[in-house]
Amino acid sequence: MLFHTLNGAARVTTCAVAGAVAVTVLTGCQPKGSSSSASGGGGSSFYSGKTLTIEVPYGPGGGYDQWARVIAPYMQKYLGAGSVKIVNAPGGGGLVGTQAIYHAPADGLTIGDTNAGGDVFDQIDHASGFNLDMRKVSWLGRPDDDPHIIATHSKGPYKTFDQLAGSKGKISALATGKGSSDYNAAVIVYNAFKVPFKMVAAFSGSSAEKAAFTSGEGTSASVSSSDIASISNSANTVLVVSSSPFSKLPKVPTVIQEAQKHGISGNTLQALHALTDVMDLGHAFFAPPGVPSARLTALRTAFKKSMDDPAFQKAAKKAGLYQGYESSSDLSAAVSKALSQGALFGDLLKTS
Amino acid sequence: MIHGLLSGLSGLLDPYTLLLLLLGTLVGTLVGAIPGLGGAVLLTLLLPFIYGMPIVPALALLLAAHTGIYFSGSVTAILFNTPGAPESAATTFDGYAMTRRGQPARALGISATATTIGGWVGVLLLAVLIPFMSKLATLFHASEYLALAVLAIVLIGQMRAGSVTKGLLSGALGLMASFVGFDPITGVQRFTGGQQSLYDGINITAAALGLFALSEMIRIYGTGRRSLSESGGGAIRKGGTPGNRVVLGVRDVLDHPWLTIRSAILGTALGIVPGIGGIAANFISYGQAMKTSKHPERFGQGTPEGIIAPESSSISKEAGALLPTVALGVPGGVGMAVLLSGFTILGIVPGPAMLEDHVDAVWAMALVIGVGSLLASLTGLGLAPFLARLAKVPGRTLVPFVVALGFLGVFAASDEAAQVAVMVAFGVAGYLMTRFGYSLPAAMIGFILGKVVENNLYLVSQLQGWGSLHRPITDILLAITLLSLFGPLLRRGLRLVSPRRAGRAAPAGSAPPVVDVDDDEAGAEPASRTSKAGDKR
Repeated sequence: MLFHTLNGAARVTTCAVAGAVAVTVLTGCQPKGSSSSASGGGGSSFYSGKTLTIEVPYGPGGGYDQWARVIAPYMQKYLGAGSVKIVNAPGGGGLVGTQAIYHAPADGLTIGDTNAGGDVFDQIDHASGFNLDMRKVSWLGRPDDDPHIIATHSKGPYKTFDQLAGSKGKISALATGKGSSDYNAAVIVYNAFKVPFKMVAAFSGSSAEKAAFTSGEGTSASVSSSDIASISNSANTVLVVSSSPFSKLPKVPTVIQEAQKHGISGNTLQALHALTDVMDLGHAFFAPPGVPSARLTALRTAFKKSMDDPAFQKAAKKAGLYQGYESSSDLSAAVSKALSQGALFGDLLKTS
Repeated sequence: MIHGLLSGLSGLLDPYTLLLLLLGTLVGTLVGAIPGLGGAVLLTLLLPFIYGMPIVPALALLLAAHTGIYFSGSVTAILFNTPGAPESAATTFDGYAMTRRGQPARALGISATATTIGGWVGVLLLAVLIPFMSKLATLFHASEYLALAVLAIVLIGQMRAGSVTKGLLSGALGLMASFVGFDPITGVQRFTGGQQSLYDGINITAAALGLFALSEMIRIYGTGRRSLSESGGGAIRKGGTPGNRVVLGVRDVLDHPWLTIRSAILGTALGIVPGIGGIAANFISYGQAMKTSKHPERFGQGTPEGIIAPESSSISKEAGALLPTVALGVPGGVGMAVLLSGFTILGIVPGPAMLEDHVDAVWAMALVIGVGSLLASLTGLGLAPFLARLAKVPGRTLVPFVVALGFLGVFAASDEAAQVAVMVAFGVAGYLMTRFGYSLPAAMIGFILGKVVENNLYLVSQLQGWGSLHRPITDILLAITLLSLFGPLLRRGLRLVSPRRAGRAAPAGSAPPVVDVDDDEAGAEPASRTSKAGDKR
């Protein structure tokens, strides 16, 4: 608690130093104001003049940061908030920041986005030591439809998932770090299809993994589909780890289609279904547990209105983000379902 | 290519863009002087302002601020041994030593000039390399990362240490400190003592400020020195016009053109390597300058070469870091990661397509780095005589301010009170290490590159194995490492075998020690030389 108070005080002081300089200099030279309070956006009177904080559990430049920054002006508009502040709190594979949002005051003034799939995996195996119950948080919705994929090198020997699955020698599967959702996704898929593999996971984040993969390392990468888009020349998407085919990659089979083709059934097939449930959770926005219902409704409404705003859709498209709104109720249900199926993974999570 | 350059230039010459470029430089230069606010923090604070801005002006604002940060980070490094950004730590070695010798204005002059020239060399190189950028950024594999990191630690380990052994030990200490926190290979927490604030490891700003700034403040307070540069203020007064001193610094750089250009090229090349380059470039640049210098013994005592090298690569490495950022969407450093955030807000998707869709923005960014470094340096040169007077402030008055700024900076960078405690621990450790002849630069570079060494050692063992020895770049880096470790031994052996060569070298070697340690290479006029001799304690 003391830390929190200290945190706040010092952050305010330092920001004041830097902010004062920046604001003084920059005010008045902006063509279209972003910090001006938008009018006519509606929202509840509670937010008027207040600052909404969006915490991002990863550093600047990644997908979670991108979504927060694209959404920020629209949340401000539709909440009628005085300003929106984005705070990057990277660390612990995203769990440090996610925990900070979880434990933030439930006054509706702090929200954040999180790797909900990663959170669910962590809640299933308690690997990190963070004990968060993602059933309890106040979900706002999911902005994206950006399914997880497995890619191979475009110049490599594996052009299709069939070829990869038929590999005689051990393949080297890149993933960010042990226990991360992309790591677990690859492990479960390769175990389910009995592909001989070894995990190579020592990257600080998906961009480091992407850099290694682009320079020709490893056999496969386990990333989200938007991650691979910027290096589509050197990568070949062979599998979509999602329950349904992805419109942007119509020719790439889903893991379920491949499982049926390979005659996988019973528990293993169920586990793969469970995996797609986890991985489809995507970049999810949430508020801490216990936000008063009127404010939560205001947040959810503002989130939905942002998603429907043509200007937002244009901005997200321009930034190369894959949109696909999922409502808070659907998201809550999906998280609960994913958590309830944790036991199915069992041995499939083992690495030799 | 010419078309892209022209459209970038015309975008930049727009008055609104120029205004933002100027503002960015000013904000960067002013705020970058506050330790901990350099690097990514200020840029993140600027991001909200670019919503709704056209692309080129917005990027001009961000990159100009980014450039300004690195210049002013060096200013505090030179004056107070307090690196504004962790990268500026390499400038403390000789920059602060020169301040202690009473020549802060000269050191600032060197810094400003080398930064600008280095920045432009970087921009020129960038111009040549832009067409090949996606290929270049992927040239490095795990084995090259590993070899480069080990080379850097070995090179720096031989700096400012009582002995090579103590230097390498210091590097090992730094490596060990870097292992605190989440281990991506096994997925467990190491050496955190259950403290969640340490789960993400020791903050780099806390380490840099602790090792350099705080340890020095402890020393000053302990010895009760009257000012950072006892004679510095006097020299400025005695010398009449302080501008003379700054000019001397400018001349220092012009007298070492090859070193300046070489360091800038090295900086650019290292900047291109994502993840390692940016942050280690200035250290490696310093190391190569020392290794190739005729007077390596002067390094750490305030030799101009020791400031020229890291400063020359300081901005050029950022020019290099633009390549992977733009070409692959893989940030070359922390500042570049924030730039990627900016891309999102502006609706730019990095990748090979960016060269077609936003070629003017790419060129404008390159030019902003050059123009920004020039503007920052001009501001710095103008302010240098006044800034240099800060070094005259009595030590005991200054210490609380620097310490408070350091605490604030660490807090701003990490948002964790525990990291401030870490900074204090590093400060005490740094003080003790200096006293007993261990090397702070080596510990710092070990810390910075620890994760690189660990992760890539693992990747090499998993992916490449001994096959990595078939890679030419790896082999070259390995050879340089071995040479720099065993070179002196080899030379001694050769001297034993052919004593005549050693005999011939002796008469030539006997001359330099008589010459003043200071500045024969600066070619200073007799008048300034006498005043300098007077400065010496």
